[in-house]
Amino acid sequence: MDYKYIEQLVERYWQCQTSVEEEAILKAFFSQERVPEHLQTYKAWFAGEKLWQDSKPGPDFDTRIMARIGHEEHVVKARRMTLAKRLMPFYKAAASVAIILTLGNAAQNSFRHPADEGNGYNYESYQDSYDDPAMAYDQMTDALQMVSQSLSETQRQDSLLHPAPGDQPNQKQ
Amino acid sequence: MAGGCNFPGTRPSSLQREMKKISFRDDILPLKDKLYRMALGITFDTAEAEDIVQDTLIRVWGKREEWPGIDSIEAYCTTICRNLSIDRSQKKSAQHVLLDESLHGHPDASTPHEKLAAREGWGLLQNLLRELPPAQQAIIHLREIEGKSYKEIAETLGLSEGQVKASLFHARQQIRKRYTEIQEYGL
Amino acid sequence: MKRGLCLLWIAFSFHVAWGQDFAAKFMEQCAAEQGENLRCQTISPKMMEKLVEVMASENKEKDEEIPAYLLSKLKSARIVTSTGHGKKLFRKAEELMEKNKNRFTPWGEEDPERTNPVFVRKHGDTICELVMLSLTADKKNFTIVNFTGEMDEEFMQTLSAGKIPRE
Repeated sequence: MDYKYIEQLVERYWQCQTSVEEEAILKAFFSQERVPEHLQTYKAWFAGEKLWQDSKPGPDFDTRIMARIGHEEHVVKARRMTLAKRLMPFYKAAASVAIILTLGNAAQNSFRHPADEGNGYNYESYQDSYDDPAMAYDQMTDALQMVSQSLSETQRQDSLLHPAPGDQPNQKQ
Repeated sequence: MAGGCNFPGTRPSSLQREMKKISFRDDILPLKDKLYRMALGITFDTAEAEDIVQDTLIRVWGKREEWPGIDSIEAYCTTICRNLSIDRSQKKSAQHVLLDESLHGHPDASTPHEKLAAREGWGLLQNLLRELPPAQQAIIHLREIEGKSYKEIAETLGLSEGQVKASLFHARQQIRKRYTEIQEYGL
Repeated sequence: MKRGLCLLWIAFSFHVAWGQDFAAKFMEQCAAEQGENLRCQTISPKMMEKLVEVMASENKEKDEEIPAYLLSKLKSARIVTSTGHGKKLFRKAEELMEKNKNRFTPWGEEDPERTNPVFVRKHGDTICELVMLSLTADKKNFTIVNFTGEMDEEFMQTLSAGKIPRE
């Protein structure tokens, strides 16, 4: 194969005669696994640049920043609360509950819930982390995204394990 | 994206339009990749860079009352990010000097293993860039990583196009020269 | 004095009616030792209703139909995130799930290698709680996504596929 084009591009690159598009070609070319022997010289430079260019923060970045912001809002809110309305931050209360329960020897591993009533979630105790519905919405779409990803992976995995054309994947109930 | 739902995120949601607000998620969070590349180009540390971007965004969030008055939210975020990056990288190199001195006795000592790593893509890039003056580093970043034209770089840095091209030429020549030296003599 | 009474009241109400979702239970067990490393964001039923109300208005975008539908099935959400200690916390969550396998069942085939398993709690045919545990690839950070509501097969299909299935 004739690598004359690439060789010319490299030379023009060092002379600052290449366009942005041509530089992109160089980076892509040198990022390949196998680069011909005689062109190896500058591989690390261009490949290194491509590495840098393609770098991104981790996949959970969005979730963590939203969590930090929710926490910031929570801190500000707590400062603003008057003594009469003040409740301890949720996790401190939970920690106190844990201590009390341990002392009272009531630490059980199973959830207990009254016999009949619906699903028994104590919704009154749910304290919003976000005042702003727009932020809450952003956090929700983020969360839905994560679960969606996981479910679609499960689905794909299941259909690999139980390949049956036209059937729904087998899911444990 | 490999499978799963695609959720809105490229435009303000009905909620945001309803509230008539600049959206953190749609206007500011998307800058994270760019800010990350910038922080990475200064600190050369992926974990540090990610922390810096997180801290930048938190700071920007903290100033949200000021958003309506800001001309370019992107420039605003970029400035904060750059300052944080420079700050952290200076603190780190101060630490490194101390550490090196205590471990090796001489600040410049490096093991053969480190020298080898320095020849591979990322390590080599870092070392070569660090040898350039900051102005040339910035131009390399904008050109090679962000793919900006000479005109755009000139506008961003407040230089003439001629100055940008001259600077870039010097930078690349220097890199080529050093590159060859390292390859041949392992310096 | 007031604070003490407040705490006792909280403890009492939790003890008498364990109206807790998984995330709350997990925080109770781990928050004390983890402190700032572990955070729980809550979206209450009131906020969820607010979101659904706005989304139901006429000027919503086409690509918001799916989130609008999904949100309408949810009552609450909690997102727990950690900074560091990911592997340890993931294991703790898995243990908690295992201890309560009479309450939660895995969704899909069980795979010990999975780093983002989903579990559900059913009430008859309805899924009243959904829990996803997630560990990042570098094993450093851990997330729990925990929904309560009235989810069903259609909800799960929509969430998985990104399309609302036809009747």
